[in-house]
Amino acid sequence: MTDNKAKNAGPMLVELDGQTWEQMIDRIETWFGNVLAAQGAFRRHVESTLEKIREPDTRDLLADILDKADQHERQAKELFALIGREPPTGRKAAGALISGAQKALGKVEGVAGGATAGGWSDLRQCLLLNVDSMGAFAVAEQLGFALAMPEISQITFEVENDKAKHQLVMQELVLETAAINILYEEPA
Amino acid sequence: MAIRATRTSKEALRRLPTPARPIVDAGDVRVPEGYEVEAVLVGLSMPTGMKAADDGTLFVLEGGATWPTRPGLPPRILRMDPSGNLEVFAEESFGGPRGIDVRGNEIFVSLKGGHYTRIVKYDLTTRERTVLVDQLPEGGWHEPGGPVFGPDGLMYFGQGSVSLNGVVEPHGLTVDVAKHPNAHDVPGQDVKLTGNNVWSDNPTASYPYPAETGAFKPYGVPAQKGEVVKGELWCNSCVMRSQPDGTEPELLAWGVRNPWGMTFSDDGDLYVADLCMEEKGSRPVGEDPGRVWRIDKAREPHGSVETPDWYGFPDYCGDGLPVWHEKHLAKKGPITGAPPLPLIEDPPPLAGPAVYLNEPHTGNGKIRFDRTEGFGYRGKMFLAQFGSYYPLNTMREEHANKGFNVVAVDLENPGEPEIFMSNRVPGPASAHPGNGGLERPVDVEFGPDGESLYVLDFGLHAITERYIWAYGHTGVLWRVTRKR
Repeated sequence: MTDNKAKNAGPMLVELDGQTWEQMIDRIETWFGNVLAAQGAFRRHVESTLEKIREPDTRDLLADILDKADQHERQAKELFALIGREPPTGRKAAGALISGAQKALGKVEGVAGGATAGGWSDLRQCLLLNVDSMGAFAVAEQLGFALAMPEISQITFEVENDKAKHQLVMQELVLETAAINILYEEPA
Repeated sequence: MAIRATRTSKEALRRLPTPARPIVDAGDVRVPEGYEVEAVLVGLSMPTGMKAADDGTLFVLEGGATWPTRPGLPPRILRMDPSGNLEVFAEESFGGPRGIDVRGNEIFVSLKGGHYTRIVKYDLTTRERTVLVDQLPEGGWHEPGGPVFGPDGLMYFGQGSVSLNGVVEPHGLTVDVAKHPNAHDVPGQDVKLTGNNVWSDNPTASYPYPAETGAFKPYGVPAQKGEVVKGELWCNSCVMRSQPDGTEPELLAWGVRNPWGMTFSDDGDLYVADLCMEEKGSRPVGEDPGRVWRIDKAREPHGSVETPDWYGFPDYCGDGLPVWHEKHLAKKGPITGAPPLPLIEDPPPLAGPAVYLNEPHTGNGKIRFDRTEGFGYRGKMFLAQFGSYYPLNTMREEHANKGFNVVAVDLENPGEPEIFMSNRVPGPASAHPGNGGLERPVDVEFGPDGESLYVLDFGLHAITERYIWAYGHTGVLWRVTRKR
C-alpha cells in the first residue's frame, strides 16, 4: 500500500489538530449563543403569558412548562462548559442574536385576528418560540454528534424531549380555545 | 480540495479531543502472532468503504448521511497517495459515497441518498464526473452494493431493500418515512401477494393513526390478496451487472436483503455479504443469521440471464427457513409469539444456500478475499463484522457483543471462522473505558504490497432501545502488517 516512509511516519489525524478543532469549537460556541437566546426568549414569553392567563388548569400546565423552561435555560448555559467556554453574560448576553421566530412575532401579532384577550394570542406565540428554541437545541445535538461530544447530545436530546411534549400541550391549549378566542372574544 | 490532516505520534492518540473516543491504541487490538497492527488515519467521519489502486493509492469514502441519517458530514472521497499524503479527491452530494472500485485511470463509486442510488465514475486525472446509473430505487436504510469489476470486465452492483423486514414501517427509519413517503420495495420478478398487511402508528400525521401497509407498497398503502406486482429490471434487494459505462444492465438476483458487501474470489465467483432481518417492528423476525451468498448467475454469459435467482427476502431467512418457522419467532419485544405471515403467495424457487452463515446480529460489513502472495491467508475470505445493534434491533442480551471484529473464513470448511482481529475484551472499545481498540469494522482491503490488510472502522455508535447515535470524527483506518 503505502511505501516504507509512509508506514513509519506515524498516524495521521483528520481534522483533529488543535487549530482545526478550535475553529470548530468557536463555531459551536456561536451556535450555543443562539440556543441560549432562543431559550431565553421562550422562557420570558412564557413568564409574561402566564401573568395573563386566568383559567386555572391552563395556568397549572403553563407554570410547569415555565419551571422546565428555567431548567432548560440553565442547561443551555451548561453547554458552554462542555466545550471549555463561558456562557455570555451581561451586555454580551443581551446582545446575543435574536432568533428568527422572535423577529417574526411582530408579524404574528398582526395576524392573530385581534384575539389577544386572556393571553390566547400570547400562548400561540409561545408555540412558535418553543419550535425555534427546540430547533436550536436539536442543532446543538447534531454538533455534539459531529464532534463526538456525547454530553452535549445527551443534554440537548433530553431537553428536546421535554420541549416536544410541551409543544403538544401548548398546541392543544391553543387549538381547544381557538374558536372561542377568535369568534367570540372582543378585540382588545 | 483541502483537508486538515496532520502527522502525530502514537502517544498523542491517547489524548484525542473527541470525548466519545478519546483513545485510539493499537495495543488494545489483538491480531495473530506474526502480525502487527497500527492506526493510519484517525478522525474520519462515518467511513463506509475503501479501495486500493495498484500503484498503492488508497481511496477512502466517508461522511454523508449514514446510520442514522444525521448528523450528515461532508460526503467525501479521500485519496491517500503512496507517500501517505491525504486529499479530498471529490465531494459528493447526500447521502454519500458507499462503495468504490478502481479500474484503469477511473474510480467507480456508488452513492446513496434521495430516491435512487447512483453509480458515478471519476477520471483520476481530470476529475471529470459521469453518472452511469441513477435508477436503483431506494429511500430506506439499506445500502448500495459494489460497484466491483468482475474478471469479465463487467461492473457488478446492487441495492438493498427499502423495508427492514418486508413491509415499510416507521420503526427504525427515523425520518425516512417523512423524506421518502413513496419509497417501497420493488421485486425483480412478478409476484402475487398474500395481502398479509401489517399495522403501525403513522408518526407523520397530525393525528397519528393506525396505518395498514402491504409488501412492495409505500408506507400506508395496503396490498390486496391475489394482487400481482410486476417485476422490474431496476428493482431493489438486487444484484446486477452492466457494461462499465452502465449500459446493458442485467438483473442477476433479487431477494438479497442488503447486498452491500460484494467481491470476487480468485476463481471468479461473485460473493455478496448480506445482513439479517430484525427482531422489531410489526413484522419482527427472530434469530435470522447473517450470511454470505455466492451469486451463481454471475457465471452465466452477459445478456443470457432470462430469470434472476431469488434469495428469499422478504419471506425466508438466511438459513433457508421461512420467517414463520418457529425458530424465527420473536421472543422478546413488542410482538412475541405470533409468527410473521407470508407476503408472497407464489414465491419463486429459492436460490442458495448461503455459503457462510454467522450468528444473528453480528452485523456483516464488507468482504474481501486474500489474493496476495504474502499476507498468509491466500484464498480466505475476510469479513468485517460491524457489531450488534442490541438492544435496538434485538432485545436478546446474548447478542450484545456479537461482532466488532474481523474474521477469516475458509469457505471450503466454513465451520468456525478464525477471529483475525478483535479487541482484547469483547464488544466495542467504547464499552470499556480506557480501551482504545476497535469500534465497528466496516470494510477490509488488501494492500498491493502483498503484506498489509487495511481495516476501516466506522467509529462510535451509541445504541439504546430508542435510537442509534453516530459520532463523527471517531472513524479509524487500521493497518495490519505481516512481520518479516
